[in-house]
Amino acid sequence: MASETAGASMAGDIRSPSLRQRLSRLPLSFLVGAFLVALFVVVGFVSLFWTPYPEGALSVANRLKAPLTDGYMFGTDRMGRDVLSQVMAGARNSLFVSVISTLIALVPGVLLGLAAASARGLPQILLSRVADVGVALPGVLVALVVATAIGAGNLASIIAIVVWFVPLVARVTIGPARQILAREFVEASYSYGRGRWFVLFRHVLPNIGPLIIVQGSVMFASAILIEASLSYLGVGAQRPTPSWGRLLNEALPLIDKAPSLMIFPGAAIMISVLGFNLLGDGLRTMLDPQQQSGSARIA
Amino acid sequence: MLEIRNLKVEIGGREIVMIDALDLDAGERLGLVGESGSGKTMSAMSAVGLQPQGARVTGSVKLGGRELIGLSDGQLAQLRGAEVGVVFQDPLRSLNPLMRVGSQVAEPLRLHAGLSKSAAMERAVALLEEVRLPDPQGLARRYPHQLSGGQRQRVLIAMAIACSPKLLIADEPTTALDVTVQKDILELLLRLSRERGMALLFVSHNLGVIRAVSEKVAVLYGGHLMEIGPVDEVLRHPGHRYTEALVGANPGRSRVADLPSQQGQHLTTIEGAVPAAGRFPSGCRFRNRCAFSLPGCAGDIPQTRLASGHIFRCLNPAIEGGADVAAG
Amino acid sequence: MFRLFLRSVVTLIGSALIGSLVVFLLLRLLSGDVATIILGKGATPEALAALRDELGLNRSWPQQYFDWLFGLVRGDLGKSYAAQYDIFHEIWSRLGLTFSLSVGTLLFSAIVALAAGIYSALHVRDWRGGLIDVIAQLGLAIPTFWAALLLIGLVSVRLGWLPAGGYVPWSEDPVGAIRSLVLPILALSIPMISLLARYVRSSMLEVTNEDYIRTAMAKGYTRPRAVVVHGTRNASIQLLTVATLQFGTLIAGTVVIENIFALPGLGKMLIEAVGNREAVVVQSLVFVVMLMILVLNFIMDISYGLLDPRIRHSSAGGAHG
Repeated sequence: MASETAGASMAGDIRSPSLRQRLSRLPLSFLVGAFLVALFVVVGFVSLFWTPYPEGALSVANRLKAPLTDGYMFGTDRMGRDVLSQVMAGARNSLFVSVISTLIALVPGVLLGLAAASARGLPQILLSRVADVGVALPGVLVALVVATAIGAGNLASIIAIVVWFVPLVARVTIGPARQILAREFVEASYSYGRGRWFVLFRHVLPNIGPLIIVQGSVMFASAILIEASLSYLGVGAQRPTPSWGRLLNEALPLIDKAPSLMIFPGAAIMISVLGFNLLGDGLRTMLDPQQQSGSARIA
Repeated sequence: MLEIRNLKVEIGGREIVMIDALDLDAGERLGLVGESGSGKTMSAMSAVGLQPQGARVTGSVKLGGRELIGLSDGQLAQLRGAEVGVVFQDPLRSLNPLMRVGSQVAEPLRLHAGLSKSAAMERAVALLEEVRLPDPQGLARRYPHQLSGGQRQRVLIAMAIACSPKLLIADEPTTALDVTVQKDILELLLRLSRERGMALLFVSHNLGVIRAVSEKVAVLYGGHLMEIGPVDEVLRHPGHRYTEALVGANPGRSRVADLPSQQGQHLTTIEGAVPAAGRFPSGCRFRNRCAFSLPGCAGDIPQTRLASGHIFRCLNPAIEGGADVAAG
Repeated sequence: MFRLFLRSVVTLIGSALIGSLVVFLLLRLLSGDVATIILGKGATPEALAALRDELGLNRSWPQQYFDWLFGLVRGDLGKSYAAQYDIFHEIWSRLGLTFSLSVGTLLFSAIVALAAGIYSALHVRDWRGGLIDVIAQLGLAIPTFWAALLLIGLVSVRLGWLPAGGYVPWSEDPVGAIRSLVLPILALSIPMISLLARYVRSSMLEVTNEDYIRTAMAKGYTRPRAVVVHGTRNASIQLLTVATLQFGTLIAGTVVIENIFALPGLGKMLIEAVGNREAVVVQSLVFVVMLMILVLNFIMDISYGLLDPRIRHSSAGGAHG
């Protein structure tokens, strides 16, 4: 009857938007980034339990196979080790190093930034200087110093990345923190007799939280690049720990005989870095649409 | 020299401006007056291709007989600076902070007159002198932030008249300046217009300023022309009720306050607020805020033309129609 | 302007001091004993003691630190243990190459980025702008050393156009020197250009909304021309600022590139020293590299002040109407 069908169609109208509709509202960069990051994480995870061939397995008879021959999808290296398995394991290592160094660096970095933003006079100058010095000490240099002291390996990479990141996080935190501190509700909070750190944690931190997350995504990308550079130089992960950078290093002498060896690890680095960069861009767009200059047009 | 017919500016499908007829003779000075949001700036800018991005401009704007609507960006750009000069409101932001003042004034000369760098610079210094700037040589080498507001505005004027255009459009040129400086700038514009035989289209919301500079005045409300005519007549004996209300709210100098209708009255305000674009009533745009509106105001309203060239569309005007009342 | 100069000098000196402290402390805190680093774990106590004497490691840390800094100024940084070369001399002779490599990359990247950024800003709404955006995103994600390998593989091995490594000194053969620097600079430039081009694009887009663009249009420019003519100056200055911040990462990349292309610069020296656990060499070398970065930042800061007339002539100007 008429009323029944009318009721049915009304119910249909207020159904929640389909998944497809919801997805299409998200910025493209976020979607692609999230996909690539997920790919990276999944591959890294999976490699813990399974790789096509055992990671370090030598097989001299099968050395330097081209990709897609004899069941080796990415080919084999100088010692017959399967490239695909090594790339998967390399993802695991990159994941490990970047997650740990980013997490370790975030806390002191944010604290340093908050302290510098809320301090006055001499402490403020000193803290800002410390935050600025990071500009002059790139991760790779610090890593080299650390590696000299304690020897090469993931630990050296992690320490180096943390030392590079802490001032970076601080620098990124100071600006927005200062802006929020200058707002009225913060003044009010102070006048109630609240201490500096209470205000910082209760008011400033929640407001800059999203910004830090965006920055975190970009930091992951940096960490992956730095770790790869260090391993390339021989200062990062050593055998048998897998690493994309080292794979590229081993590919150089064979560049004329087996050019494919340098393609896969390098592409893997590029894809994961791209993923985190895009994810960060996408998050930034979602959190602050005003920042996009998309509406401006010159011609 | 300037003939505007049915100039319509639409943004996002909404009509922002619709000017049925506006004429400016060579050397004549017309003031375009209205509240903020009346579309006065939009009309003036759109006529020469400076409308905002995404705005659609239709109708007819003839400059010296040449149709401007429909010209390409490049063609319009050719005209600007050479035939039409424009002076804007905020002199600091309207100048490139990283370029010396002299070079900026020399730019139109190099663009349109094809002068060499040094020749253009010489002309630029002469122009700076013409706008009564002290030490033109030295000033030409300075940067905008080193000048005062009044000086910057003079520079903008020098830029606009560099190629001796037939028409100068001035959009609220004194609004951002000190009162003491305003008078000087207005006198400068007046002098330049007279000396060079240059027509002036002066846009402002300030009746006193319009009065000081213009010979003719056009009143805009909601993007539509309410009234147009000789400035003294329109401001002293306004026809359209909106103009009357506007004048009542801006008595300014004592002569304007001598309006018979305003005798012994305090400053009046106009009730209500300007509606957003697309939400204007049919017929006369002002009728919902008008104390004198009639039922007929919702339809088409014929023009009342007086011999002096004073024209308005109002069914219940503040003055009687004169000898020639034209229909339609 | 003077204030800016003063502030830049203070930043330079302050950061240099803090940085040197970080390097100095890292080596000692992480390892506990510099002599063990150099000689390795298997060294005899007598050898260690002898080395400590020779290197003055028995002095207090503050003493060692200040002596080291003075040594820097005096030109005496000691000798490398393994190869016995004079550290200061070695650094000095290699400085030129590393410097030319990084500054060359910076200039090349800046110019290309400016062009690419302006182009993509002018075409921001159509496919051309979008394409450049995608390329830039990819370029950012490419590690420098991978780009180097790809370039070597393609240009040197496949096409044979340019050498895959080695350096011909300028004095011997300028053309050869340039040829050996082309691929390294290219490899370093790829991520740099991608990053800088995005900044140029967004500053050009910002400029579009400025009032002085409207004035330029009123003078007789079409909008695109107005933006290019007036916006480029603005964008270049912003480009400079951003480029300086990237210099640290650039130097890091240079270290890696020198190794790939076997260029005898500071980077190669550094990697060898790290490989040999030459703590003394590393300490001074890293400090010198860091100093290079800071000096360049300083020069850029000053240049920025000189280029922006609002800072250069910071007086309030005349007051007549």
